[in-house]
Parts: sequence; C-alpha cells; structure tokens
Amino acid sequence: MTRYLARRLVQAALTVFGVVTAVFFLVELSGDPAALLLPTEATPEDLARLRESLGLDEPLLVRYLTFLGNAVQGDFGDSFRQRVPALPLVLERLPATIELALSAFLLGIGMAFAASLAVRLTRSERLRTGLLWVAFTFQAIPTFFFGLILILVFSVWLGWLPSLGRGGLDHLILPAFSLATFELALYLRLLNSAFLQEQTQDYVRTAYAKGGGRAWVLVRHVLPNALLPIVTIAGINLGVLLGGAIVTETVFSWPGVGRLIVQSVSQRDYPVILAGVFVISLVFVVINLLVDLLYAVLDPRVRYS
Amino acid sequence: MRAPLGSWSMAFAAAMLATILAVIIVVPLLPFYDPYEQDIMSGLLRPGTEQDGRLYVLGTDFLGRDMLSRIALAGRVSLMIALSAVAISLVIGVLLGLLAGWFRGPVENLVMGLADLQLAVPRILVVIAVTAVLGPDLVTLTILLGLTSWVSYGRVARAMALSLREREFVLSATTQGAGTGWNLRRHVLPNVMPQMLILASYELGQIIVIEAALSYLGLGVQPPVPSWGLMIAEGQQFLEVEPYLSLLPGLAIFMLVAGAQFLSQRFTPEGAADADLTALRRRR
Repeated sequence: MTRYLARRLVQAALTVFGVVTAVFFLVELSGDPAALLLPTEATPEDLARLRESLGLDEPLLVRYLTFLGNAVQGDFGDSFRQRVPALPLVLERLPATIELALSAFLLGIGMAFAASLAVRLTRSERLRTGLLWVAFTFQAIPTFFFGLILILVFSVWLGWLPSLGRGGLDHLILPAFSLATFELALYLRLLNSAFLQEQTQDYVRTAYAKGGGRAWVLVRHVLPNALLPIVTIAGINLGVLLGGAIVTETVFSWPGVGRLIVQSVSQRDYPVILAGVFVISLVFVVINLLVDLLYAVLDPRVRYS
Repeated sequence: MRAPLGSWSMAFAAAMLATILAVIIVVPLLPFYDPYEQDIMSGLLRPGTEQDGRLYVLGTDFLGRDMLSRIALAGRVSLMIALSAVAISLVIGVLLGLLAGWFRGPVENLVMGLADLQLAVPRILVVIAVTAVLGPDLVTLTILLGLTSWVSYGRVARAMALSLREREFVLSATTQGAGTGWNLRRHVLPNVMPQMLILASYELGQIIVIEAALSYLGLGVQPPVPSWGLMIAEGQQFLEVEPYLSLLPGLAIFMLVAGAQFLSQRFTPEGAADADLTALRRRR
C-alpha cells in the first residue's frame, strides 16, 4: 500500500508538471505578450523596456527554468492587466468554484440516488422508463443552455431567484441546479445499470433466502456493491464538473476560477491563465488520487501492490 | 435485449433528428437563404413575421439576419467540426488502442500513460488553454477536439485487442504465417469496429455540445460565421424581451444531440453508460 501510494504521488506530481510545462510552451508559441500590452503608438524603446521588466528578453530555456523555479514557490508572475501576483488572484476565486462544484455534485448524486432507490423499491417499470427519459433528455441539453432556460423561467418570468453573481443561498440555487443536471443524468444511467447487474447476483438471492426484506437487501447488500463503479466515475467526473463549472460560471456571472480563466483568455493575461490551469489540474489530480485510495477502502478485494 | 426506452420514443427521436437534418440540408437550397445579409430595419423580428413581402419563419436576429438561414448554416458548421473531430479521434484511438493491446509491454504502458495524462485535465480546459494562445480558429478547434477525444476509443480498443489476440481464429492465422499487420487488419479491426462506431455516435453528441459551449464562451467559431453556441450568447442580451433568439439555436442543439444519442441507444442495452463502466473495469 505504501509503495502504491508513493507511486501514485509521483505520478500525480508528474502529471501536474507535464500540464504546467505544456501550457508554458504553448504561451511561448503565441508570440510577444509585451506587444499586446502597449498602446499602438508605443516606441520600440518602450517595448524593449517592458520586455526587460517582464523578463521576456532572456533565452527560452532560462525563462522556462526561472518559471519552474518560481512556480514551485507558488509564484506564477504578475497579472499583465492587474499588476498583482497571479496565483493569489486565482486562489481568491477558488472558494466560489468549490462551493458551486460541490453543491452541484451533492445535489446531482443525491437526486440520482433518491430516484434510483425509488425505482428499485417500487419496481415500477413506468417510473424507471420515465427517469431514463429525463436522464437522456438532460444529457442532450448543454449545461449552459439549460442554465439560460433556468434564468429565463425563474429570474425573468417568475422573478423568484437572482440570475447573476454570488451571494446568499438564493444565488447558489440556479447555477448549482443547472450544473447538477449533467451529473444527475450520468448517475441515473450508471446507478440504473449497476443496480440491474447486482440484482441478479447470487448473494442477493442468498440475502432474500435468509429472510431479508426488499429495502434491507437493497440498502445493506446491493447498494455497497453498486456504489463501487459510481465512486470511480464520480471522482473522474468531479473534474469534468470543474470543467463544466467554467461554462456555468460564465452563464451566471459566478465569480469563480473558470470565469477568471475565460476573462483572462480574452485579455491574453497569460500568468493568470497559467495559474488557473495549474490550480484546476492540481485539484483534479488530488481528487483522482483520493478516489483511487477510497476504492481500496470500499472494495477489500482491491489490494494495491 | 429490449431497448431501455420504448419504440415510440425511438420514433420520436428519429423524427427530431430527421427534422433538424432536413433544416440543415434543405434550407441552404431555398431561394431566400442568406445567413449574412444584415438589415437593421428588420432587426429582431419575431418568428412568423412578414415584412416587405417576405416571411421570416424563425424571425431575425438583432442585425436583421434571417434566423432560419443562420440556424441551418450553423448546423452545417457544427456537424462538420464534430464529424471531422470524431474521425480524427477514432483513428488515433483505435490505432493506439490496438497497438497497446496487441504488443503489451512498453507500448501499452506508454499509451495508457498518455491516456491517464489526458484524463488528468478536463478536455474543455485543454481546448481553452490552447485557444487562448493560438487564437480561435475553425481548423485549430477541430484538430484540438479530435486530439483530445481519443481516450475512450483507445481504452475500449485496447481491452478488446487484449482478448482478441488470444482467440482461436487469430492463433490459427498466426500458425499459418500471418504477421502482425495482417492479424490486426483482417482479424482484430473488424471485430473492434462495431463497438467503436457505437462509441463514436455517443461522442458525436458530446463534441457538438463542447463545441457549442466553446463558441458560447467566444473561444470557438468566430463571427460572422454562425454557430449555435455563439447564437445563444448573442441572444442572451435580449433574453428578457426576445428569448426566441437563444431558445431556437438551443432547441436545434437538443434535437441533433438528443436524436443521435437516443438512436445510439438502440444498439446497446444501456448505451454509453455501460461502455463507460466496461472501460473503467478494464482500466484496473
């Protein structure tokens, strides 16, 4: 287990390193950011001065090594636009993104569990088909478009909920629900097929034979086994959720990391983009690591060597 | 096994798909088709309005451009991007997956390592980062979506190649002197392809949705070329007065994606969700 943990940690670190390196060289490909920052009437001397102050006049390898050295210390350079360190700028947006992603995650998986359990307990074919319909429908609606429909109905027409920004719980409802529907669809389908597969196993028949009631067998025996694939998907999906949050944040003007990255892209504010990509991939890698470890706890048969 | 959803819903899905495909294919052939002509005087006309002896079936946008024409052209653009991206990722994924499953060893480690690296970052983030740098462009976008979408094909192809290489018909071919190339081409590939095409039909919808999201953010298709995502974004500022501007292109995405995904369910009992599960199980 310790060796496995060590290997996974090294793997995770390598992944983050790979991502950051890739983004650095991409930014290099894009040409001269100094030229973008100055007004068109700037003289060549102005340009040279700015390049020097930004450290752009060094050779590529030197800049890359400097960049790596600084990045290890959490320094991604100053934002071109705001003239303040980029990483704190990103980190100060992180709570908003985590708040949104986590509420959407819990909301989505909670609704999916409630619905699937209801289907298994009632054994209603009509309910099952209806829910699958809902799942398929939601999976075909882009999250950002569904968000827009929510705004239209609940903010514009009914006037019940605010459509923009972050604040109290009422600000969270629409974006979280909109992001959760994507989750809901996936988990409904997964839980449905996982339950179906587990339901035919021998241990279920044994549990019934021992006199277990339907609800007891379902919750005590089937659920833990059906949970296993869901945990893996949920872990991977939490990252997708972070990606989806990028778009949802823009729809609802939610002040999170995703919206910051999108804004920085249009302003060509590379240090902020770099720091943002770094933070999101770090979160993603850590989640995946935790999921793999959780997997070992949930399934005693999984022994990592 | 019976399809999870009834046959009447399949008919409905087919009808939706047929309708949107008909719009995409037929509208550009009609005499009034012009997705670019601006006329401020006839801006923001509601669907069904008649002006200057001309009927605007789906109305006009804020620049007075015909919505029906724009939705049709945007559909062509979306489909072209998605089909090309799916083709690129299918070829890469099948190739890498088969090589990994056939040769095992270092090749397999390399391919699976690449797949893990790819999965370590959300697809949309990669596309955003690259677009930020190279600038938004149709060809770049297509290639990027293709390059970042091969993992699901690769994983499933590898898993299938692993078991196929041990099968009798392959062993029999090998004992008769068949080489790697012959075996892969004649025996493994044909057995892998059906599964790959099912995955592709699911991925097609996903890529259309991602492209729409990127265009919505202003990082995909650039104006004046229409795209459904871009049209939704343009319409959002008029959401309170003229919601149809955003709703119509959204409906178009839904019809295409839902239609394609419902139909792909016909070929697998639990569809892509099952494929996801299979791929994950085999990851271990």
